[in-house]
Amino acid sequence: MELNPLKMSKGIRVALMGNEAIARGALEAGVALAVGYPGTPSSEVIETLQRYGSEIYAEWAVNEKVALEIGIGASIGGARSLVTMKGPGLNIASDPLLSAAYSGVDGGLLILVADDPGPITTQTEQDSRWYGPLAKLPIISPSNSQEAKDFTVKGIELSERLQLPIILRTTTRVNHSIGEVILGDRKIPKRYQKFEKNPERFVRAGMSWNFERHKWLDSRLKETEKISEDLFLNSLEGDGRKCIVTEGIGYQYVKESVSMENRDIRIIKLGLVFPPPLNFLARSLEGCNEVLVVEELDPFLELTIRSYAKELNLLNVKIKGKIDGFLPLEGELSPEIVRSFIFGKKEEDVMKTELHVPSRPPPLCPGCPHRNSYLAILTGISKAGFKRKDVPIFGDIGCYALSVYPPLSAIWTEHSMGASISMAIGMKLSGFDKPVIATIGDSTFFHTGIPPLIEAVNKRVDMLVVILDNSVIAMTGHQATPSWSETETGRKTKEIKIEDVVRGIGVDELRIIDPYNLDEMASAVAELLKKKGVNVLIARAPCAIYEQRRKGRPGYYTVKEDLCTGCLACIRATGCPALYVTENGKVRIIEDDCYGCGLCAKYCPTDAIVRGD
Amino acid sequence: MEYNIIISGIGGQGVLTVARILGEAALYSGIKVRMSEVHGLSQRFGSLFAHVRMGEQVYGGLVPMGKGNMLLALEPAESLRYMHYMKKGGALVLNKNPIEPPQVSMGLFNYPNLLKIKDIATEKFGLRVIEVDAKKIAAEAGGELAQNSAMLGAALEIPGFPLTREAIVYAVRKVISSRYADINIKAIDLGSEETKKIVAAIF
Repeated sequence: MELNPLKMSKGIRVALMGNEAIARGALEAGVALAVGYPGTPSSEVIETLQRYGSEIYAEWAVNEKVALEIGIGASIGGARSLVTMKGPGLNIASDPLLSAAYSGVDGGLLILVADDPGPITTQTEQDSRWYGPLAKLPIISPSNSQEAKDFTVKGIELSERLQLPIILRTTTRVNHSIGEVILGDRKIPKRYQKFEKNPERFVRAGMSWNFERHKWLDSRLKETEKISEDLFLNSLEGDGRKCIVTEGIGYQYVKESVSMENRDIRIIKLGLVFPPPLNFLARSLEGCNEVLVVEELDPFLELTIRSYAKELNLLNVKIKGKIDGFLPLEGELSPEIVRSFIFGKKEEDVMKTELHVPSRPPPLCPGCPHRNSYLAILTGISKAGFKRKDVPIFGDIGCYALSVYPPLSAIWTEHSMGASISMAIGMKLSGFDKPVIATIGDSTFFHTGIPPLIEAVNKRVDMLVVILDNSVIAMTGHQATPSWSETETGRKTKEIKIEDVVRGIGVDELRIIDPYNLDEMASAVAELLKKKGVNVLIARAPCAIYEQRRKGRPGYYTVKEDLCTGCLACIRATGCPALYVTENGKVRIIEDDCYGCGLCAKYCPTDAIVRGD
Repeated sequence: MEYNIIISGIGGQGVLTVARILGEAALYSGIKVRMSEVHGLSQRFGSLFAHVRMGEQVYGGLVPMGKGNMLLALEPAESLRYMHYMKKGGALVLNKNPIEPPQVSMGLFNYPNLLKIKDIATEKFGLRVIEVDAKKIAAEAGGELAQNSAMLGAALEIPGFPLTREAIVYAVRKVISSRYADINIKAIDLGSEETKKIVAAIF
């Protein structure tokens, strides 16, 4: 009886995750097109919208830059659109972002960027609020699920009033927290209206009119606070002389702390974080004798307030936040960090357990084809007569980055989408004389792996590129890739074959191999490693978890206890989490978790691991 | 009323499902609820937790340290990461079935034994430990995957737990696909049954 919160009517109260609330908000805002690239913690917005039906277009794009440009294209024709991505995604989409600010939009364009303090699942602790001043675009920031929905509606509204794209910026605890939301009315999606030729507005080719557009942008930006006043993005509570300026999830921690201590404190909450609502701030900060700034990641608001201290009449008022070290610059905020900051209390006698808890980094799943691929690569390096420590394996972004952990300890680098191939190029071109291997997933290859492969082929750089093709964006929850012939919504698509792309680029040799045939793949790696040119090996096998969910597993393995000597060769070679050691020192398989790939059996010297079915 | 629960375990055990069930049950009972989850890095076997907070005065989805009422540990060693979030006298509902990470099997770590874990919970953190053989209960109910529901059943027996069986059963039917709902409800009831005596002895 699963009820779809997107289809419920106005006035109903439901518990929604922040991202689900944004999806609902998109419908209440009349969004006609929602597009993005998966990235934690932003992915559930598009996923939720995909369950709504065909009334709106909700699909994944090949990367964030393309997604944003699709959104811009829709918006300059008057349609309302939502584009979603994680923080680093906006780096990739920053080029169209800055140009879109000059062109402006007609239909509302809201860009969700989800940052990840901690970082929990991201390469850096990027604070995307800096894109506000960089691109000169307004940023709004919700603090819970209700606001996540409401700000989505308000963001589209503000975008149309200002004729500018608006950035909806969140951090993990807003995206992935669940709280009640009172639903509003859905609007009929606003699709294409009209698009008239207007080169001064839409052609950015270094023309003199860009200077005029810049002036136009600055004038629009200046109007933001006034134009957004009746949207009530900001709020003021309490009237104490001790004042807290906060935004996003920080506000919830402030409320929690203040209600616990029951003291009179003024809370100034910004929903519009850029450009700073100076009139509201001046009004709200009047008579404060101390200003505390609570925000995650960089001291963005704090710097703003400090730089406008004169205009805000704060020249003789102490402003405290991150710059003087009261709050940490790194990591997530938490209720206790905020509470001790506001009330100057030390953390309560928190006793950490002294016992060492074994760390549990996420391993590759049982049966994961990437495990086989990396074992084949490592074996292939030895087979080709090289030492493992002499042949760097450049990694890329995806589940396969988990190969960094023992026992595989495979990849040497992992930086940014597509960087495996380009960084390998740099290593070779600067004089590295041993072979290099770049490993990249199928979706990452489509995303930003194609240009570096062109570069490698064009510049005649010798390397082996292994494309780990599990035909799905696995790490973020199994989203569609361009190789699908039908998307999650049932939309029929033309499948793009990686081998066609690779061949089209003109690589020297291409082989497609099933990584479950470990020996064959290891031999292929060894051969290609010794060959000149750019050689590509596509290791193709579906994501084991995804395949299992759709078709059931191919089987499972079990251990014959009398034959197991407890040598642990299986565990040491594979690190498969379905294997464990019993009290008597022998290995057993969690049969419910086993996928039946048989890799462990291959490493058993006594043939103790056998098929269980 | 304020009641804070942390659910800890590893990917694949149904940590997030338990959180969702508690959230739906709270909403059904007219209790304000806030939850926070961590997910999105690989599919299985990594450490995972969810916070569920109920009450009028809760704001953020994260339980403040020292304010937890119940720690629902679907895997024993995972409980050690969150004991300091609990109040003294809080409940640790502990699944006694360990899942050792491969690093332990490879000899890179020692896995703390169950007695030691319980000892730390009671001696150091003043928690009341309710040990549950969720694996056995789930198997009895018809499927080992229902271990998380067996744990929910145990939670129902803890004094002060603000949700009723009725609310939990309603939520299970809403969150879990109808194919597995009955097995899970059976696991909840068996979990409650098994726990009653232990609870009577320590509360």
